[in-house]
Amino acid sequence: MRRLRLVYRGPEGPETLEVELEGARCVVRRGDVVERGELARLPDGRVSLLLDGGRQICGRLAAAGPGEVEVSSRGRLRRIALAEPLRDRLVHAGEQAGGHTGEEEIRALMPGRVVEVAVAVGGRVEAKSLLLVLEAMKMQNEIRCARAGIVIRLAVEAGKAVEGGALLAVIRQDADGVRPDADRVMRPDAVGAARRGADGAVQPGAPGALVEEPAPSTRIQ
Amino acid sequence: MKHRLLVANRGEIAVRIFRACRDLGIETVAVYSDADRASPHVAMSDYAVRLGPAPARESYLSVPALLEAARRTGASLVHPGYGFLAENAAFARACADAGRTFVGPRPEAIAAMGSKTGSRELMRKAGVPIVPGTGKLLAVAELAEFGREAGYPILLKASAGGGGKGMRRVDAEADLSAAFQRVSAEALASFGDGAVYAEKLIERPRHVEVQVIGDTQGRLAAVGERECSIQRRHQKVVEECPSPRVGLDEDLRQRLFAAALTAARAVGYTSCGTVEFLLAPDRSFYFLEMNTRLQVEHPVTEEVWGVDLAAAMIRIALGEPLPFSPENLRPRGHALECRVYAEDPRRGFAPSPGRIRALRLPQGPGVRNDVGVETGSIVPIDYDPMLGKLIVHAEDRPRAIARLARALDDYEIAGVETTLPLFRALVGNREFGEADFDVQWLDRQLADGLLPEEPATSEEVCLAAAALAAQDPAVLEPAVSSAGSVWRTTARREALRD
Repeated sequence: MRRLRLVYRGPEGPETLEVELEGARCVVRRGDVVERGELARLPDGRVSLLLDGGRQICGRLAAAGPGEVEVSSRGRLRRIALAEPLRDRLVHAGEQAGGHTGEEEIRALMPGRVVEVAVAVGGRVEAKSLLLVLEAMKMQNEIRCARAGIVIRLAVEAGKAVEGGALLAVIRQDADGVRPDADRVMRPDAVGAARRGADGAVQPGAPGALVEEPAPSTRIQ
Repeated sequence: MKHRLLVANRGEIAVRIFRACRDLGIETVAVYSDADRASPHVAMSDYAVRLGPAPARESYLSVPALLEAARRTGASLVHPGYGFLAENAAFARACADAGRTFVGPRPEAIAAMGSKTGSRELMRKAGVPIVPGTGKLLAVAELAEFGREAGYPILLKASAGGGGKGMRRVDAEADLSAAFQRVSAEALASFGDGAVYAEKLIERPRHVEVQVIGDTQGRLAAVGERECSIQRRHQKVVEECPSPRVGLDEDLRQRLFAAALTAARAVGYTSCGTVEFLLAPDRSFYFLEMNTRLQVEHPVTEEVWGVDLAAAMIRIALGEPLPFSPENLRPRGHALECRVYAEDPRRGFAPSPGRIRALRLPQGPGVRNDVGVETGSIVPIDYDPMLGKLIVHAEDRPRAIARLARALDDYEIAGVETTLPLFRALVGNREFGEADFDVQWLDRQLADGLLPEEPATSEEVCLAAAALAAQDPAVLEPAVSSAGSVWRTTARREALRD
């Protein structure tokens, strides 16, 4: 018998799911709803769930991002925020610190290695902006801030190993509703450009390489 | 002598043409860049030659490398596919000079139709209706004169442009000067030619095109029309045959066919070609351009008219007469084609390069896939991100749409984002179902939120939870290659658009 507790963040906010697995038999408890069924792994890597009521659903699972899985089923791709409580806390730690004006300390909840730093001291960040990427538990976790503000301290750099609990960055949060120098808001394209710059001389065809000739990017009518 | 055909292209069109070769008993020669050594078109070929590094100008656009590949493999025929060198008269000429048969029209026909302003003038002389417009313009004063004559809105276009680049709508004379300067500067930067011309803007037009085919003995035929009004920023997304609008109006259809044949005859056309028209709500239509090659959307015509255009094109190049009698052809049912791109429709259609983790293609009656990738394929950033085309065929349009919905349910691509969610949204759309659209319809729909974020169903959450319990989440394969890929691809997109 295997038991697993998961946090699901759906439209109604975070809720806890409990899964019990005994061979192929499984029980999923979600609040008052209990679903029982049988799980089969298909030869091509998909999984099929046959619920006791007779409903069958089949799909393929992949890790979509930190604390998220992607389910492809019947031609649809869906991202589902579903993770073990520890990872869920790791990913959503910042959000719990939100709600008041002040300084947000971003800490590593687990030991790991900083793969990438996406901001600079003095830079503006929006709510949920990517700050850095921390590799822990064999996964790259995107660490984001809870609220908009200014990066006032960066305690790490790319490549550095960090202990659990180590300070990573500090954000001075905006006062509610105030967005000073909103024109300097960090936009995805600005970050992309910075990354391109940091890559230096990228090889043609390498990720991030600039494609110069117009012919291949001009679509055929 | 056994013929051997080199396809100067990659992806699904190379695969499509190789299939036609196999049907005809012709040996195949693939060419590839360093990004494509493991691509399906190479794996299915009889002979293969490396052209060069990934960038197209060093591989698929390199005429010397292509001719050398043809020489080394003894390829007697060269097929350009679409894109790359398909409408390059100099390449067609170079093939002939090197003793290879170019599978396509004569270089003179390519050149005549290759110039937007030149082809307009040619069509005007031949009596094919054209949108009121000017020749190349260099001064704002001439533009203003045209604007007063034809009436606003007008459209400024880069003379050397294409694919939606270098165009600007002008609604009033006051905006003319600024718009002219911008289009001219853009055209100079993108195409190295700052020449601009102006046209009257036809509001809410549909895009209808006629498939023509001619042999070297002087026979020329129209093989039905296609409608390609479902476009995103002037790029076709869904194509169909017949046109739902023209299908209701046999007189209009005959006038379109006659105009298309006149256009093709004006350049002595041989091989497969497409004459594109704008169709106005008042049934007037205007020549847009002629594509002197096999079209991306040729399969919808093949399905409805029961012909093999790719094979016919090769046979014509070999000097054979038209392989079918046009007067005996009868259209049957309705076909739709969806272009499946590695682009994320929920993030502004940003390219989504990466590795295809899983690919399961729909099958069954009336479903055809022309695809250039396989499970495990890497979608490179270097080329157009089209993975392939899904084509469905049924007795009529409503049944074809139902069949498309079924096929989309069976279609699985994991690892890269694709345009499949867009097609899923379209099949459920009332206006699409009623064919009540024009070339800007899709852009308006997308702006109005055609693609809502749907939450997962409780069954899907259940499946995910059970599957997670059954396997260590840490060993799950990542869905899309890199963290932050959205931002990277956005930046790449911008780089591509420049």
